[in-house]
Amino acid sequence: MNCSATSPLFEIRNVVKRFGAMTAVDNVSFDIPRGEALFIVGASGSGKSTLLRCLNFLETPDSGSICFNGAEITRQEKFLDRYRTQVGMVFQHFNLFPHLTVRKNITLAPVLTGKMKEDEANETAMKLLERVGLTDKIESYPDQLSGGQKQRIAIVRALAMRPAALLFDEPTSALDPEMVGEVLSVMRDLIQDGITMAVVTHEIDFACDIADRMIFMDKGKIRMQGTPDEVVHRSNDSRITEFFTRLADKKH
Amino acid sequence: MAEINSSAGKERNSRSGFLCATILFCAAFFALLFTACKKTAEKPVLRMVCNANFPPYELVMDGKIIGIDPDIIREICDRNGYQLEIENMSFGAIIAAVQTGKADVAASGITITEERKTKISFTDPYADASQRILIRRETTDFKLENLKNHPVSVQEGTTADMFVQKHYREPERYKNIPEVIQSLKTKKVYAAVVDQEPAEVEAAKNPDLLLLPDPLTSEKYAFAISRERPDLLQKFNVTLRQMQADGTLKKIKADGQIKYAGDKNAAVDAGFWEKLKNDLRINFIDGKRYRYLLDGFGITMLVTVFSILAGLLLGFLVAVTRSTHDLTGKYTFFDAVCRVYLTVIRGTPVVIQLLIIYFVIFGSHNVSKIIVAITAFGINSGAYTAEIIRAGIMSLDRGQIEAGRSLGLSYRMTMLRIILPQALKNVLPALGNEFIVLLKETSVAGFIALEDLTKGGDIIRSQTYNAFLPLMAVAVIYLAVVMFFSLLLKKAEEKLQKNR
Repeated sequence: MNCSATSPLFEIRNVVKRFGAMTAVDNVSFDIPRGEALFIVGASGSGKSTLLRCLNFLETPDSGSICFNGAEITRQEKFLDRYRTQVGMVFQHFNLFPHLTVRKNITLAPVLTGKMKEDEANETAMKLLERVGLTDKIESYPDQLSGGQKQRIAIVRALAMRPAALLFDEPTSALDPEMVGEVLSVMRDLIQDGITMAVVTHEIDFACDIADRMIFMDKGKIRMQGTPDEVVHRSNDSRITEFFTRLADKKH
Repeated sequence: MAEINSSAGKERNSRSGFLCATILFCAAFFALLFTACKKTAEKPVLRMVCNANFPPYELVMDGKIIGIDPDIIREICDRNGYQLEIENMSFGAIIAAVQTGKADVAASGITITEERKTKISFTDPYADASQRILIRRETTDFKLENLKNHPVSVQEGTTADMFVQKHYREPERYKNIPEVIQSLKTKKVYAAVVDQEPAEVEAAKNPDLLLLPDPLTSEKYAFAISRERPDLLQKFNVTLRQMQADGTLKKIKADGQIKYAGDKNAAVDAGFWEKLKNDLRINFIDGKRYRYLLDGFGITMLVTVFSILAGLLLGFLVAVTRSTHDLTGKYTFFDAVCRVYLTVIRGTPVVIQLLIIYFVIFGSHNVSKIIVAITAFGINSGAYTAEIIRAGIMSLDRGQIEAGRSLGLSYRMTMLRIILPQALKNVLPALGNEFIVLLKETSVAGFIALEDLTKGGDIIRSQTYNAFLPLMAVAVIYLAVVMFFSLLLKKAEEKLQKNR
């Protein structure tokens, strides 16, 4: 396909991902314009996490294409490594490196990929830690941190690469309820800064409050997309309304 | 998307660094191998092998192999312009050593038999011999037919072995004559069948033993030479005939009977402490026998340390190849090669691998035994190390790789900086255990006549006819090394725990 220079940051076209006989992502196409906060919601097993992981090729799509910044992403390892330096990812289970200090967790990739010198990386780490209020943890190891602190460090780790976009894969699902807030507030801060992001989440209230656009996934396909208000409150699709009612019931 | 292309150069740089390290290591290894092969003699060398526990034909005294056979062969060498090198190995291995070209001539009071003739050539005979029966003096009711239903000890691979097996029963086979004699003295067997002359020496040394007068067989000794060396055989026969004619042969044999009758360590009637002191002196001080333990310890440590290093390198490569295949589906071919390696090495005893590498793979090359041992134990340890490291890699959460890759680190970088450090830390106790096992496994190096710690103890044992002290000394040294190593390992683990 043709990717134009003035096109959106991500252009996803006809992406298919199968696991054996199961089709997790079934011919999905959408765009993410620069600066947009896109939230992907849907039931468990609807393919939303797989779709997100296709975006940075942690899962290799079986077919379809993804354009980033006007260029199609090839599947060659070296190009992918370079591409991934520009698209950060935050995982449900944080995936911090337990054998490294917070400082090393943050500075390892920028230094190893040649993006920054050691000093610059340290400076960047310090600035970012300040932003999430964790400067005192710089020499700590991950197992000395709470879940919320770990996820904030994981976000800092992704930001230290100065990515053009961030992917969040259920960033608060593994957290105790009292720690969800601190992570969401960091995310809110980033959205207000205007960084492009795609977020898979069950935090519907937060999504409604902050998302520019929302995609509802069902059985590997996009069932609906629009503003959060349109998807959550004004849909007359029974599957979608049922999902949000059930989610709300669980909460109260 | 020009930005994306620029990463290739750096990638190649760090990869070539890794490659360089591997190549350097291999180069160093082969350099060592070739230096070890290199010969610096002006005169051509004649390599003789024998089992130096066969007085008066061959025995070890003060660390040197002496006896009638070395004297005859030295005379032959002198007359033909050769330089003599003598090596000690088990009797069962000397024929094979000549056959595979590891040695030029085998001399160990070898009796001419039809079966042996099919493997090697014999020179003209140089001595008459026979098999004789030794019993304990207390056995008063000895009858020849009793050999059919009582245990009999022999030296493995000798004509006594073949004769007893053919005419009486399966004998109990020992590696050398001192062990045969010990089995008789400690009442493990009813009788022992030994070549005439060593039997006479032993009977003279051990007043509790009785040499029966009637010989069981009538045999002739000759030297064994490879069937592919008719020129050497010819030289030997011509020289032997000359020595027969000018009386040299007779003189060497007659002198040898007196010179090499073995040192007699008469039993001392004394108190426990007095006896222990005496035994300690005989086993470790006399003839500087402690040197066997010291030198053997050095060899054992050398072989162990380099085998560990070689095993680690090999294990890393195999573990990373296998894990990469498991994680990404790449390298199917190399993965299959690795699996064959693991199956074969883990499915066969290390001593068999050692013998195959020595006699088959390095069969006709004169490679240092230390290199052979390091190769064998390194390859063996590599298989176990590989599976330990692979288990460490696979036990880590997949999210660790994904986190590394999502930050733009290459697969190799992720492996090196994120996966392997964690995997190694987790498997350090298992790796330490593997090293301890390896240290003790090197004790089979004696099978290729490498004089390691265990073999050093064996040599003392065969000279002093004392089993307890040499074996205890060897055991204590192994134990001390293992305890020291365990301590180091514990410290390393604690340090890692502190530093993550």
